[in-house]
Amino acid sequence: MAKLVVFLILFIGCSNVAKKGQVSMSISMRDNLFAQQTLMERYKNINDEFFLGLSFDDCLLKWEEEVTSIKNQLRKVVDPKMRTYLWYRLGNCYHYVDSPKFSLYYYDLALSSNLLPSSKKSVVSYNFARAYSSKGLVVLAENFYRDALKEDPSNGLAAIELSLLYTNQGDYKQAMRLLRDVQARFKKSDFVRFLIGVNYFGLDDSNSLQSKVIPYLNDKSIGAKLLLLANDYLRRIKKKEDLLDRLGNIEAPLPPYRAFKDLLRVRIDRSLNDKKQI
Amino acid sequence: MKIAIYIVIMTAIGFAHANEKWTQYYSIVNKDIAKIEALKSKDLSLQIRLFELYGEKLSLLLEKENEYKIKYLATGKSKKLNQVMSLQKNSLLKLEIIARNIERQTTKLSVLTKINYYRALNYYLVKDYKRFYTHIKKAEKTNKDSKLEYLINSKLADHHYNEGEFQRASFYYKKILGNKSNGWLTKIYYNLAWCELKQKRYSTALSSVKMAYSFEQKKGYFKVGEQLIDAILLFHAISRKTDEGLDYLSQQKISNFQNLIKYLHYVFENGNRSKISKIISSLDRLEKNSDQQLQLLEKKIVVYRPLKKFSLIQGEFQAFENRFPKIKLNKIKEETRSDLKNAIVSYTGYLQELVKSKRLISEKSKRKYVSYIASNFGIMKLIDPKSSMEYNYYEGETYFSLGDFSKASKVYVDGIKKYQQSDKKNKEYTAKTYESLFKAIEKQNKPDERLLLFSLQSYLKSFPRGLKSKLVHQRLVNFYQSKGETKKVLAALRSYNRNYPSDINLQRDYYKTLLNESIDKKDINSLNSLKNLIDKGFLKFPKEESAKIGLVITQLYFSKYDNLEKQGKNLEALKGFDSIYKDKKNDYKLRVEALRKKLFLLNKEKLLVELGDEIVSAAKFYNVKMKKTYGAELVIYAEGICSGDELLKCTQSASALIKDPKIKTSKALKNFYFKITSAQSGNYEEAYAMANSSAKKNYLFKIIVEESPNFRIPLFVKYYALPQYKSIIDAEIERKFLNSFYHTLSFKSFERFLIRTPFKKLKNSYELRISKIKNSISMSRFSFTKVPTAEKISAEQFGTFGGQFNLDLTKIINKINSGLVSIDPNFAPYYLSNVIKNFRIQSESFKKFAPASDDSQLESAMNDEMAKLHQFLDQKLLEYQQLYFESIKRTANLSGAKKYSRGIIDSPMKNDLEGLGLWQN
Repeated sequence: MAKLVVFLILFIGCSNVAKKGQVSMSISMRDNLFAQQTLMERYKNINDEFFLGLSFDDCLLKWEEEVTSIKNQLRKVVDPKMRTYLWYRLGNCYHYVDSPKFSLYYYDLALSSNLLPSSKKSVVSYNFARAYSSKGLVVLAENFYRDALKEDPSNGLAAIELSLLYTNQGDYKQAMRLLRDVQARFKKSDFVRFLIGVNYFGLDDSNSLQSKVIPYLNDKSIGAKLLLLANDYLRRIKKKEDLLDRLGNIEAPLPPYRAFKDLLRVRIDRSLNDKKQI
Repeated sequence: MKIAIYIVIMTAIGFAHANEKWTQYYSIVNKDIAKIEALKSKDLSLQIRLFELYGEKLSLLLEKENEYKIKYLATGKSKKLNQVMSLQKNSLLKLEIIARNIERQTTKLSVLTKINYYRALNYYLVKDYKRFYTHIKKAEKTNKDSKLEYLINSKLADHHYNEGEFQRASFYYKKILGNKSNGWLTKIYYNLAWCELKQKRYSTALSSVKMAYSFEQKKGYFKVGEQLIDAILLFHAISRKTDEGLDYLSQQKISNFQNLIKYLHYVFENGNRSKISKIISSLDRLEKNSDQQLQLLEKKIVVYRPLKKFSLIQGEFQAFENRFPKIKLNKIKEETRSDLKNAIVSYTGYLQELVKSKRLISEKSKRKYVSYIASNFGIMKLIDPKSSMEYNYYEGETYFSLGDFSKASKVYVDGIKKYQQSDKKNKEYTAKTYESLFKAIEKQNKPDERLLLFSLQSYLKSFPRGLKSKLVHQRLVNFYQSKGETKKVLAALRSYNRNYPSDINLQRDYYKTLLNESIDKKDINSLNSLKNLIDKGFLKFPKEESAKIGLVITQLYFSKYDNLEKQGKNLEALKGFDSIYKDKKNDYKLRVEALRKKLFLLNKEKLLVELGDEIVSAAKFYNVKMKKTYGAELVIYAEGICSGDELLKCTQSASALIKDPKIKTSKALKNFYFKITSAQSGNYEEAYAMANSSAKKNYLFKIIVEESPNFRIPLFVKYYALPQYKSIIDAEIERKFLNSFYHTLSFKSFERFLIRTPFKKLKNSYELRISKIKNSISMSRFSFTKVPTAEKISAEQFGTFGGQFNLDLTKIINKINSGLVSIDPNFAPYYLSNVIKNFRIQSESFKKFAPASDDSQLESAMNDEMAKLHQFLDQKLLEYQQLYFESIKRTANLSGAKKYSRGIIDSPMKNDLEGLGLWQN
């Protein structure tokens, strides 16, 4: 109990009021928030249909004020639905600053009320899954992504993340199935097509890559460039140096692109040295 | 004292000496008498001598008679007196016998005259005036002696004068006037003047008295003294010759104050009153001392009053008042003061009577006289300050009698005030004044309150336990009560109680009236003051009374704060209830109610931090019964705190309530407490102890998984005992096992992970498994039979080689199969990869062997055989490759083996695609 009190006091002290009555953030929380803001902006800036639908939560923009406001509302609110919603919001907010325990606390309160709509339950499951995924708890992550999709089949992020999980496991077909569902809703999304292309690459399916993905990508998009290169790699039509050179010229700031670029580099570097191939 | 003793002694000595002398002389006389009596015959001379001796004896006895009379009066002892009286009687009898004897013996006129004369004197001495007269007349008749004639005439004149026979007295006085050298002329003329006056022969009376005065001024003549001047004054007055008298006084230079004042008196009493003013003028012109001024004033009053010259009198008073500062009161005789006082009193009394009368005087006059009366008392106070109280009283009574009660009250009060500043000796009139003052106040519809208050207060000061004091105490209390002056009421009650402790019940009733008023007005401050008094023993109220008041006070406070709350002034109401709660002197139940109110308001205002603190306090403060009754409220408030996201206070308050066995906490609160504790405390064992539901366990599991994704927290062991969590943990560890292997193609990372897990059995099983897998993988290590190295080989050599090769190959294939069977299916791809790689290497190396022989057929046959073997090896390789791709498919979901579905596993594929990195909202 004493430890709890000390912890709470420290926590409250750390996250203490910048202005009177306002919840404030620690340095690490600010860093995490800033990183999330930057990432969000970058995704938005690629003008992909999939990301255009993403909205900036008020917590992302002004975390302290928003959290303070929510907490103040919590003091006063009586309506259980409203309270549930506020807990849900707090859970979201604390994820942005990488405070998973608090997120968990608030999400649990929100879920316990049984008043949270499915769409928001889906979000909660997604965020749980993401948290577990980041810790390497793949089984739990997969389960929660699936829960997110069960609650809200239109949860594109959950589908994407789950597909990535499968892709990383080499389960390209499962990944493709999920991506196809997402693509059905985001027909114009180059990003989704890119991920489909990544899976075709995983399957060494150059034909599909060439016929079903690349033609539909914006030539100038990062995804298109990467997949073209990947295709060239698969078809062995370019020399290693050329491929590596081209790869080096592709800027890929966003995680999936960056990771695929790295993967390509390794594969190109390795397999072109490997003379005997199946 | 010494002088007194000396005087007494001297008197005693003198008296003793005188007594001795008398005794001696009496003895001599008696001896002489005895000698003569002893003689058988006594001639005329002896008779005369005897007569003389008896006369002397009689004188001596008369002298002694006085002495013994005094003693008799002092002591009541009459023996000696009786003796003396008896001796006198005897002496007188003897004298008479002797006188008769002498009368028989002689006819000499001179002798007879003397005898009769002396007989008359003796009878005169014994106050037998009848016999005196008889004998003095006899003496007169027979007298031829001029000297004796004078004596006889003067005796007769005095006798007649004394008998009031003034005419005869005058006759005889005139007879003895002849001798101008007679020293007694003054007295004779004086007496004659009186005789003449009595006969109303004023002129002769005046001339006689003046003659007497003129003789008195001369040497050698008897001094009559003041009586003579008095007579002159009186005679002039009676004869109504006032002016003449004034002139005479002036001429004789005896026109002094004393004489003039007497003259004034005589003229007023006996003379021409119209002439009084002249005398007064004369008096006024004189220079007078303080005493004389008062005397004159007195006389003026006496004189003017019957003449109804009241305005003159008042004028004199005014003048006197003006002069008063110069008057030396200490120089005034008491008699003078008294006379003047009486004169004024009398005069004023007369005015009062006039005023009281209904018809004698007009209203205007009455008013005038009333002012006179009041003024007169003012003069009285100057003259006789010691009796100011009395005069004040009478002055007040004057106004009272007129019905001017207001003025009367003021006068009474003035008197009392002055009395209080004085030596306070005149208690009689003080009491009367108060009596009248109270009556005067009662007569007024709206008495002056200051006067009323003064009268009550001062009365009690003077007579704290007087006749009326009890009532006055009560009136004073009532007075203050009517004014709402509580402090003064209490002070008055205190005084009342001090002096009349037996009236305590009544006093308590007064107090209770105050109390009820305060309650009606909801005057908490007053009630507090009243309670404090009782606590200090005021009117010896029992303790219960204090408690009752305390209850009322707190109830009033309660209602006051309740009203504030109704008005929406919650914060003020909060402060109020807090004060009631914190006041340890208050009743416990009341404090509980106050605390409840406080909690309610804190909750209403959403002051969650404070509310949390108070919940903790309440948990300690409430007794068992209160916890039972109001515990649920506390729980609801605590839930509100937790819902309101005040985490620290939520924890504190929830902890206080949950740990209290007398308070029934709700599931919701317990959940809150559990969740916060789980998330924050780090004491997961404690949290697990509280996790009495699957939801809680689930929540805690999420926490600890988040905390330790590598399952290092010892609590995981308990969770591992539960099937649903065991399956999760097993699945994750299995995924980690497989993922880490297919990520690194090594067990090292997993083995490092395994060391630090708390699951002993699991650790052991995995160690065993790894060992088996390694063991199985070791079966992928094989070597084909070494080919012959000779350039040319014989058929036998080839046959032997071939046979050995087949045998070895069979063993290898069996080994490979055995390994394939035994290996964990999730590791079959890796195993097969190794098998394939090795088989390929071995095959390629084997294929390099081309048997040569000198025998071309043999060489050809050998090469054919080699070709068949090559084909077999290729087929086997293909088979193994197929097995590889199938084994990939058979690996567990999310094992990571499928990454290698493109080709055999020769190097780890570490690069995974990152997630988008986005949190969803």
